[in-house]
Parts: sequence; C-alpha cells; structure tokens
Amino acid sequence: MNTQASFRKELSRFPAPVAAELEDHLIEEYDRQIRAGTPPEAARRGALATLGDLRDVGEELSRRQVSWVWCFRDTPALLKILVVGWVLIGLFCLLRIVQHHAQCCTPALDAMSSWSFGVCLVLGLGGALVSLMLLRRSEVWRCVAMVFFAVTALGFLLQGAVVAFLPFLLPIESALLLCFAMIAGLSAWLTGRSRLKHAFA
Amino acid sequence: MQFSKDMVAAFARPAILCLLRQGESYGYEIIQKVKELSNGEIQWTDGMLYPILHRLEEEELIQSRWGESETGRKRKYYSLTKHSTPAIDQYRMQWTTLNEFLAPLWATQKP
Repeated sequence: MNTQASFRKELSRFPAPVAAELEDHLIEEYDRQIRAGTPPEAARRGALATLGDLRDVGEELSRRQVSWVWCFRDTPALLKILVVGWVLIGLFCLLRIVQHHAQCCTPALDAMSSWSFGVCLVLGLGGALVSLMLLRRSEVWRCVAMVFFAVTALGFLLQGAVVAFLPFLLPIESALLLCFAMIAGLSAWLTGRSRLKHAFA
Repeated sequence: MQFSKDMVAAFARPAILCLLRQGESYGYEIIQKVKELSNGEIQWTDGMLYPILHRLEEEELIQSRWGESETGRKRKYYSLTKHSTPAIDQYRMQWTTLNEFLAPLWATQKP
C-alpha cells in the first residue's frame, strides 16, 4: 500500500472535506521528512504524529463540518438510498399524522391511533432524522443510528415471526419499513464498522 | 517551549489572522510559517491548528476555498474576510494592553 493510500485509510472515517484537508497536511509533512532523509516508514509515522491524536482532531473537525451537500455527495450510494428513502417515509408518516388529525374531531386518540401515531412519530420521523444525521458521520450519531436501525429491523422481524403476540397491526407499510431497516442496518454496518471498532477499542 | 492548548488557542487566532494578511495560505503552510517565525520556540501539535482555523471560518473571520496543490491534490486555502481587519486591530489592542499590564509585574518579580 502506498503512503497516500495508507493516509486515506487512516482518514476514511472522516467526512471528505476533513479527510482531504488532513491528507494534504500529512502528505506535505511526509514529503518534508523524506526530503530531510527520513526512511519512508518513519516519515509516515512521523507525519501522523504531527497531528497528535488523529481521531480527536478528525472528530472535532467533523463536528464542525457544516456543508450537508459535501457530506451527501461523498456518501456511499447505499447510504444515500437509505437517507432519501427514510426521509420519504418520514414525510409519508407526517402526512398520515396530519391526515389523522384532520379526520379526528376530538384530540383524544384511541389506543390503536395512539400506537399508530407513536410508530409514525418514532419510526418515520425519528428514522428520517437519524438517517439525516448519518450524513454528518459523527461517531456518536453513527452508533445511535446503528442501534436505532438494528432495533427497528429486529422489531419488524419479530412482528413477522410472532405476530400473534403483538395485538396490533402497523398502519404504515411494514414490508417497506422492514426493507429499509435492513438496508439501513447493512449500510450502517458497512460504513460504520471501522468506527465501531474504534469506539469499543 | 511547550504551551497549553488554551494558550495556543489564544495566541493562534491573532497569529493566523496576521499571517493570512500576507496572502491566502493553507493549514500546513501556516503551521510552518509559525514555526519559522518563532525559531522553533513555540511548539504545538499541528492538529491543534485545524479546529482553530475552522472556528475562525465559522465566525467569518476567515474564508476558505478548495483549490489544487502543485501535484493536483485537493487543498483548502484560507484567506481574510471583510471582518478580519477590525478583529486583528482588536487583538492587537488586547494583547498590547495585557503586555503593558504584565511587563512591570514581571520586572518587579523576585527571582
């Protein structure tokens, strides 16, 4: 693996603008050390050392990352599908909530409606928010998202498997949500496993 | 000489602004300039500079653009904004006042 690829690997967990800026720094420092006669491996390690704790620096810069467009452009296709899909589900749920309130003459909701309302709110809108936050690629949010999607997927699988134990039917399309929950879990795992390794190391 | 993170942050803001007054620059070059100017006296972790640069950008005291290095690599260049000059003047006054306040105290201090 060449040096630039090795730096890229180290920086792969950060948003592209942050990674690009730090990569430029690392390569400049590496080149300087090579010119000074340092052996390549020592120069590589030396360049990384100049930034201090790379994870801390990258995380701090990632938190300050303001451009959503940048983040979205650099997001893997699977994650883009997830974010767009879940935002659509969120909008659909919002529509359901609005429709429900328009039809309901009293603010009090019966047990079934309350459950539907809660599911729409938590899974639809919550999921949309969580998936949007995935674009920020903050370590905390990625963990939150992974747990959220894993629980959602598990919940829907359980509902399918032991529907007799659940005395309700979700008013929103379960198959669609299950599908997205599974895509979500998979993509979060694919893009987040290195971060989780760090988080639990 | 090693400085604490807070001290570096306090000093780095006016230093970066003053250095950028000479023209747009990028993170690594700014760090090298600081090292050169201090004859290596001021030692800091390079990683400490980037959050300060980003904070200055958020506060619109500097702005950035993406360009390319000589080798075609993506590079983020920083430059001053219209808000920079008043901020530099303010920093100069503050640091001068602090220096004037501390100078006689250092002088009267027993070894």
